[in-house]
Amino acid sequence: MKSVPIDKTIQRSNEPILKVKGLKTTFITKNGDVRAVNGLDFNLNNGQRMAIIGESGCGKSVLAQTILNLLPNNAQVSGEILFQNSAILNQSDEQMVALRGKLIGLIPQHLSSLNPLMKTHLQVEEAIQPDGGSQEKNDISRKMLNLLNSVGLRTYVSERHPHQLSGGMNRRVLISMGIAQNPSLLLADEPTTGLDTILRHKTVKLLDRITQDRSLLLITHDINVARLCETIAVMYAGEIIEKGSAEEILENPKHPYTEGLIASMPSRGMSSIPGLSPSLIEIPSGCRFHPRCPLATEQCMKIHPVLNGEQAGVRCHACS
Amino acid sequence: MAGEISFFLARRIPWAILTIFLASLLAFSIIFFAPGNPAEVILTQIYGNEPERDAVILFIEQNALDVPFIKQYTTWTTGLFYGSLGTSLRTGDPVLEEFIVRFPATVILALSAITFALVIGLSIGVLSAVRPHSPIDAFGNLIASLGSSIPSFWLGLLLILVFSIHLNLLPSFGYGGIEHLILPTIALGFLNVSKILRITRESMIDALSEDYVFEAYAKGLREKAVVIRHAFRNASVPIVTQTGLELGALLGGTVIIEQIFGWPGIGSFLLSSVMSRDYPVIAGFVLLIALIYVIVNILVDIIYIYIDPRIQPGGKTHA
Amino acid sequence: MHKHAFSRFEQFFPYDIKSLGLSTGVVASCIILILLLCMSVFPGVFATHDPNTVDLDNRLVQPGVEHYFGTDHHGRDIYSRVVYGARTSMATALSVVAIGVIVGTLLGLIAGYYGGIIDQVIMRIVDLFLAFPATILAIALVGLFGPSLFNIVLALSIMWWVSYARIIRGVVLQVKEKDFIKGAYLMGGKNRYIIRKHIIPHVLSPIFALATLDVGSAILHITGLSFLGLGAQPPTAEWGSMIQGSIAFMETAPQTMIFPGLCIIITVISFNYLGDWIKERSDPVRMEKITV
Repeated sequence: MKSVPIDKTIQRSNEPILKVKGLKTTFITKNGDVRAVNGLDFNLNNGQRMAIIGESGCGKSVLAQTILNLLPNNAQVSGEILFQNSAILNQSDEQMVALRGKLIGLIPQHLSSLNPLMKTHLQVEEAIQPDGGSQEKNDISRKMLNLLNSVGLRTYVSERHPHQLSGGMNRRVLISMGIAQNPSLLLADEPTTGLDTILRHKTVKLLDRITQDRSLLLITHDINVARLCETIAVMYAGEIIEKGSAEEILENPKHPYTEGLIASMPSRGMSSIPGLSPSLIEIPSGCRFHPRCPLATEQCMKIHPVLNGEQAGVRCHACS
Repeated sequence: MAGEISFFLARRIPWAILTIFLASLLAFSIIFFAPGNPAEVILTQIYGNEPERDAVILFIEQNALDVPFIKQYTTWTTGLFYGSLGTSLRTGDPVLEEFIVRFPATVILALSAITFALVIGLSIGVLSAVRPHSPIDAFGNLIASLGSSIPSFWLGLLLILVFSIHLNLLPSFGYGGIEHLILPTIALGFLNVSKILRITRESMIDALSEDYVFEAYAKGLREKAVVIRHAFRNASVPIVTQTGLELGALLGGTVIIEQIFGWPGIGSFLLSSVMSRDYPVIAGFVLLIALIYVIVNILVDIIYIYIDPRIQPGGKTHA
Repeated sequence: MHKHAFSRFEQFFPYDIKSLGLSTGVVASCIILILLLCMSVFPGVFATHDPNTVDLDNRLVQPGVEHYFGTDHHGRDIYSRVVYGARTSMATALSVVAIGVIVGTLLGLIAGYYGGIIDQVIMRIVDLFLAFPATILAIALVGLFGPSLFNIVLALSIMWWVSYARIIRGVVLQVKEKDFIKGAYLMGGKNRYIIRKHIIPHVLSPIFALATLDVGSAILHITGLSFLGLGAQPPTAEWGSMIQGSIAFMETAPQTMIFPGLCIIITVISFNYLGDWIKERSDPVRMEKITV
C-alpha cells in the first residue's frame, strides 16, 4: 500500500499535483460499451487552475467520478492517475476515504446532491468532519457557521432544509461543502448550471476567491465561466483536442471544434456546429471529429492525430 | 411542530369521524338485514337443540330484536355517546367490556408480529440493496417469495406440528409467557416480512442511486454512514407507508391465528360471534376496529411529518 | 475490488426474476398454471379416485402407489381431492379478480371522467373500504349471509374492486389533463371514444400485472376463509377446508395437512412469479405514476 503524502504547502511550483495518463473509463451497458473517457492525458500543476470544456455528454463529469473512484459497478478504468505523485486508481476504499473531501474536494453539479430531509447545518458539518473524527461539537458548529459566512450565506441558512433555500443559496452550500476541509485540489463539476447571468457571475467570483490558494479543475460547458482559469483544455469524445492558456483558446482557437465552440457563444454569433455529438459507443475512426469537420481529409478519417504539446497543443492534422 | 400537528389533526379528524360513522352504518345495516334469526342460533347454541317457538319469541322480546331498523340503529348510536355499545346476545356482558378485556392480547400479538416482520424485513432488505446479486440477496428473494405465498394458517399448523408436537419445544395453545407468543408471532408476521423486505429493498435501491448519496461518498463518508444516515433515512418514507398498510392485513390475520393458537384476543371472539350471529358484538367490534384502524393511520401520517419536512400537514408536498 | 453500495446507472431489476437468475422460473410457472387450468377443467383426467367416496377401511393411509398423497380421516383419496380442489380455487379466485377488475374499471372510469360529486362519492367509498381491514369485513359478511363459496366470492369482490378503480381513475385524470387543452370543445359522444382509445393502452399492462398477482392473493384469502369454515362446506373438496379437517389428525397423519398446503403454495408462487414478470415487462416507472 502506497501512502499518500499529505502536502499542503501551496507554492506555484511546477510539481504537478494531478497527473492523468491515458485514462479510459468505459461503462459496460446492454447497448454496448460507452467510452466516456477515452485516452485522457493532462497535468495539473500545484496551484494551477484549469478548465475542461466541452459539450454535454463528452465525458467531463465522468472524469471527476473517476478521480474520486466513485464509479458504478459496470465501469472499467484503465490508465493512470497520480495525485501528489501517488497512483490512486487502484487504491483501496480506505485509502480513497483518506483523500475524499480532505485532499480532493468536489463541488457537485446537481442541487439534488443535497439531502432533502437533512438540515443544511448537518450536511455542512458532515463535510467538515465526515465520520470518526475527534473534533468537538462546538468547534464543528463554529467552523460550519464560518464556512457558510465565507461563501456569503447568513447564519439562518444553517437551520433550513434545502427546499427552503433558493437555487443560488444551495449552490453556495455545495461550494462550502467542497472546501470544508481545505483540500489541495478542488474539482468543480459544472458549478454554474441553471444559474442566471447575475448569479453565474457571482458564483464565478466566489470560485475565484476560494481557489486563490488551491488547485482547481473546473469542468464546464460554459466558456465564459472557463475564463476564470489560466488554462483551458477542450474535450471531445473522451479526449482532449486542444489545450492552452485561456486567452489563446478564446482569442485564437486552432482546432475546428474549438473554433466552432467559440462561434456558438451568443456574444460571438451563436452559430452551431453541424452534426451531432458522437455516440460514445461507436466512436468515429481516425480523428473523432472528422464527420463534422469542414477541413476533414482522407488522413483525418484514417489516422488518429496526437496532441502536439504539453502545456499547449492541438490534436488535429489540419492545424499542426 | 406542535402547531403543524394540531393543524393537521384539525383537518383529518372530521374525515376520520365521518369514515367511522359510515363504517358503523354499513356494518349495522348488513348485520341487520342478513338472513338468519339470531335468536334461534343463539338459543340452539345454549341449549343444544332447536328451541321452542315461545323461547324464541321471548328472546326476541327481551333483546328488543323486533324493533324497526332506524330505531335499533338510533338506540345503538345514542348508546355510543354514553360509552355503551350494547350487550352481547351470547354472554350477556357489555360489548365494550368484551372488547376491552380481549384487546390487549391482540395488541401484544400484533405488535409482536410487526416487530418480527420489521426486524427481519428491514435488515435483509437493507443488506440486499447494499449488496445486490449476493447470496444474501438471493436468500432475501427466497424469503420474500415464500412469505407472500404461504398461507398463514398452514404455516401456523406446520409450526405447531414441528415445534409443539414433534420437538415439544413450544406450547401450541394458550396465553401465558413468551413461549406462547413465539409461534403465533412467526405465523402471523411471516407474510408481512415479505412485503416489508420488498419495499425496503426497492426504496433503498432508489435512495442509493440518488445524487446526495454520491455526494456523501465524495465528502469522504464511509459506506456504513452513507447507508444509514442518508439512504435509509430517505428510504424510510415508503417503508413507513407500507408498514401502515400492513397493520390492516395484520388485523385480519389475527382472526385466523388467534383461532389456531387459542389466543384470547378480539379476533377469535369476533369469529365466534359471527358464527352465532351475535350482532351487537359484530357491529360493536367492527366499529371499534375501524376506529383503531383510523387512529393508527393518523399516527402513521404524523410520523411522516417528522420524517419528511417537505410534507405539509395539508397533505401536499413541497417542491 | 469491492465496490460500495452505490447504484447509479445500474439497471434495477425487480426482486424475483433476476435475483435468482431464472427466466426458467417464469417458464415453470406457466407450465404449472397451465397444468392447474387443465386440472380445473378436466379433473376427471387427472384424479385417480372419486374425491368424495368414503372408504372407512382405508382411513389415514400414508402416501403410496395406490393413493399418491394418502387418504384423509374419511378414507378419501387426498390427491384426487386436491385435483378437484384446484377447480374450486381457480374458479373462485378468478371470479373475484374478474369482478374486481370489471367493477373497478367501470367505477374508476366514471369517477375520473365525470369528476365532481360523483368522483368524490366514489373515492369516499374507496377510502371507506381502505379504512377497513378487508378480512374482517369479509368474515362479517360471509358469516352472516351463511357460509358458502358463493358468498365468499361475493364478499371479497365487494372489496376487491377498490385498487383497480384507483388505477383507472388515475389514468383518466392524467389523460384528461393532456387532452383537455386541445380537446376542450370535443366534449360529447366523440370524446368517449377518444378517451377509451387513449386510456386502454396505458391501463392494460398495470391492470394485467396487478390482476395476476391478485389471483394469488385471492386464493390465499379464499382458502383462509374456507379454513375458518366460512367457505366450502363438506364434503366439497377445497384446499382450505381440507387443511381445517386435518387438524385433529395432524400428528399421526401429517399428509392430510401438508399436501393441500403445498398445493396452495405452489399455485400462489406461480401466479406471483408470472405477475412479477408481467410487471417487469410493462414500464414500472409508468405504473407508479398511474397509481394516484
